[in-house]
Amino acid sequence: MSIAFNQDASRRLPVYLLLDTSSSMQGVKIVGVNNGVIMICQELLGDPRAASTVYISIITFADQAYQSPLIPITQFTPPQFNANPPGISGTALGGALRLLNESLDQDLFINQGDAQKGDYKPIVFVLTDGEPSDHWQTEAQRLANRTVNKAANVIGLGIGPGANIQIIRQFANIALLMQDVTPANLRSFFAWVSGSIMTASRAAGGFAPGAAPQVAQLPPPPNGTIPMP
Amino acid sequence: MDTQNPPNPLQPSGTEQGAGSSADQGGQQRQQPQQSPRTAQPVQGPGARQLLPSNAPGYPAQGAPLGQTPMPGQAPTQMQALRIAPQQPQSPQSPQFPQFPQQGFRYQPQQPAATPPAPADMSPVDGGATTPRANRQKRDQAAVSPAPTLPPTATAGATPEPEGSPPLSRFFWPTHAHPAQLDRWQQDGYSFAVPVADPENPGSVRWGLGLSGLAVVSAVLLVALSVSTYTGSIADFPPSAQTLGIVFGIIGFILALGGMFINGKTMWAMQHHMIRRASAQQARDAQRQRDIQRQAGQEVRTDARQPATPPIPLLNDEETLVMEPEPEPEPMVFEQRAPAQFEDRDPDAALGDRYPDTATVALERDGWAIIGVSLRGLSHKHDAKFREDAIAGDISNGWQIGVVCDGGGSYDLARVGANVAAEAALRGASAATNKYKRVSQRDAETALRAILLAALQGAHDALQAEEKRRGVSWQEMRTTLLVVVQRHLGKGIHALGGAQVGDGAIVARFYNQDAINEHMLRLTTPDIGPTGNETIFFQDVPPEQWEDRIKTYIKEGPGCYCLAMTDGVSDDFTPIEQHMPLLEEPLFRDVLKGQPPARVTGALEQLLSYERPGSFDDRSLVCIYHLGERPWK
Repeated sequence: MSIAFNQDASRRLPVYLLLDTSSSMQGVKIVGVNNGVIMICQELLGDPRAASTVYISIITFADQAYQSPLIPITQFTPPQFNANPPGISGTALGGALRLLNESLDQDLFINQGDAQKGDYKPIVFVLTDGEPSDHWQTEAQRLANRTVNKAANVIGLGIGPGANIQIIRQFANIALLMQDVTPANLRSFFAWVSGSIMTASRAAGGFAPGAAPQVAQLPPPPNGTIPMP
Repeated sequence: MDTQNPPNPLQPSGTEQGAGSSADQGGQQRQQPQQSPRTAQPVQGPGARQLLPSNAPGYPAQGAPLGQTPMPGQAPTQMQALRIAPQQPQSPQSPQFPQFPQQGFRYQPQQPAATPPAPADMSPVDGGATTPRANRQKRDQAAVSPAPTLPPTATAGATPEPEGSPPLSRFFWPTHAHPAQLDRWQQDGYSFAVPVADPENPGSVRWGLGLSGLAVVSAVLLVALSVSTYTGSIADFPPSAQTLGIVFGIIGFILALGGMFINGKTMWAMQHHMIRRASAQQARDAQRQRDIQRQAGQEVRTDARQPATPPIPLLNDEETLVMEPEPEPEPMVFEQRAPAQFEDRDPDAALGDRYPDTATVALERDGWAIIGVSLRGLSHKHDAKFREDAIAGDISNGWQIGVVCDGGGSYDLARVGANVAAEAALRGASAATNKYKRVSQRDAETALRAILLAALQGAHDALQAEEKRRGVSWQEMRTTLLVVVQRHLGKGIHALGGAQVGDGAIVARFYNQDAINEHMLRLTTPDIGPTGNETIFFQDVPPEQWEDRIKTYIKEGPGCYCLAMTDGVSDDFTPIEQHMPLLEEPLFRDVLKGQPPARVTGALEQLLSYERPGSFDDRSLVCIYHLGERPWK
């Protein structure tokens, strides 16, 4: 006696990681990012709920922005990110935000009343250590003013003294600043990211309207970061 | 462009970089198979580059560094679209570490200098060796010339302390010396004390203190004169007093400057003296170690060209520092592994408001039956939480009533709210049926509405009473509430009603005399937010809106059954009209089979324990059906 499902329509928890790979990320930072993405994958695979709901897409931005497809975490193998060589400058945050907005528009299922329950609210993490070199304002405003497929949380992390936290605050509803970029701090941040994703994946029980951006329910910010109000 | 070899986005030529090349690359990408419409859209604008199709050939293998030139025909990988950071040869000028000063880096003290011991008569400080360049040379030489490393403290007892050391006073460390040098001294085991005077000019302290004292006296006189003038002690301020005040002020200022200069100079000399003493002591230790080696018959080599002491940086001499960055973490290796499985954990034994993992309802009366099962979901089992769904059912005065509730997963007392609401709603509805023991088809709709309103009112009152009893806001007991009421009015006429706040579903299925199922009716409309994890709860709807939540129907059909379920079930069968038969058919064909409900609750539990990816919420289902009838047979 069993039920023969003939389709897989499970709801997804989309997670986007926007990672700065500009030349200033050389060294400890890019190694920390690589390790952090691996750690996120391993942490999420260790949580059966997250493993069955999380879909992940990574958008990297340096002089240009690139995106990986939104795929289940169980099928995701972390790539190796390399920061741009010193001769190539540029931080295309605007391009990355554009890719994000387009993905939110086209890759996500929204609730269709009785017919179909849509995906969970996506979560976006942005990590950058500098200022954008392209036109970012339009896409940032578009992200902040979304009404359809609005991200539950856009969490921006500025790392190092060169990060412009004022820009991050314009599109992120949680802005963090990591002044001391050490491997330990980066590791703490990515551990916090995976913890936040798992917290969101536990939200299948339902939220009241307007309470979906469960900022207060996320774990406290990791060590080494300062929340910027 | 070569469509077989995607362009290297980091190509330094610049001819294919930037927004200006997007159209060109877009043309290339459009020739590739496309996974989604978005992947075919070039990303316009500066700094953005279009996505590559995810199934385009020629991408690196999984886990391989991105950007490696793919082999033609290589199987596509999941990261095909991520075309970042191709294997660009690292620039030889690429700094391994950010430039100094950089946050996140720290100074590391140079390891204890391993210079060969020098002759005792060599001057401990090479006056000409204190330039940065000379120090670097000495440091380099020292680094390639290992020396015996007996710690000075280990030999302190073997050789008496050289005489002639000035009296020491351990009242401060040479704070003006660089921290790196301090660390080195500490690691070498040296402890320093500072003389209270400049050894080369012993009277400087006295002079400094004397001038400072005179400055103080002058200032006191000036203040006294001013106070006397202010208080009127000197009624007529004579010019001599005015002149005297100015003279006192000038003298005091000069004396203060002189005192500061002399004291500063003394301090500076003391610091230098301390450094020289450090060098001398280090040389003595080296000599002592050499003597020990000689006594032990070991061969000792001396190199007169080597300085007697390791290079010691002057104050703030940055060039003599060895700056080492924070060591890069070891790159992690991703280990592909199977996802973890859900575990079954019991809630903490100390927690109150305990509810069993499974709840069942099994009633039959007057040929009608109600069966219901509520199961703790995989998620709650894994998190050692209680089941947060609740069910209830009753057959009263010819009315069949079923209730299901789903406590909000993010609220601490959700399970309490769900159970309180379910039981109270059932009590309210059952009590209301006393007024409608006999009902005609004309009055049935009024009766349905009154019964459903009584159910909502009962839940509302009970939750508020629970709020007062616990002293906790009822918002912490948020729950959905679904009530279904059914009565067969005779001659194939059925009165159906439902009230719903929140997600889940209430459906009715009609079938003919041959038990062939006909159409399905959605009795109520669920509250679903724009995304999957949003809904509203019973506490969010004010009483004046309850009427809008109630739907009643008078339908004709030989056979009818009703199902009420929480979203843990309904979400697995959306769209309901299309996929609910996947549940209905085994439910009636394999589980119920027209039998009394008490016999088949176990089978219903088994049926609801189906496995489905992404489905780990509590599952609750209540079914009202007619005994003996077997739809879906």
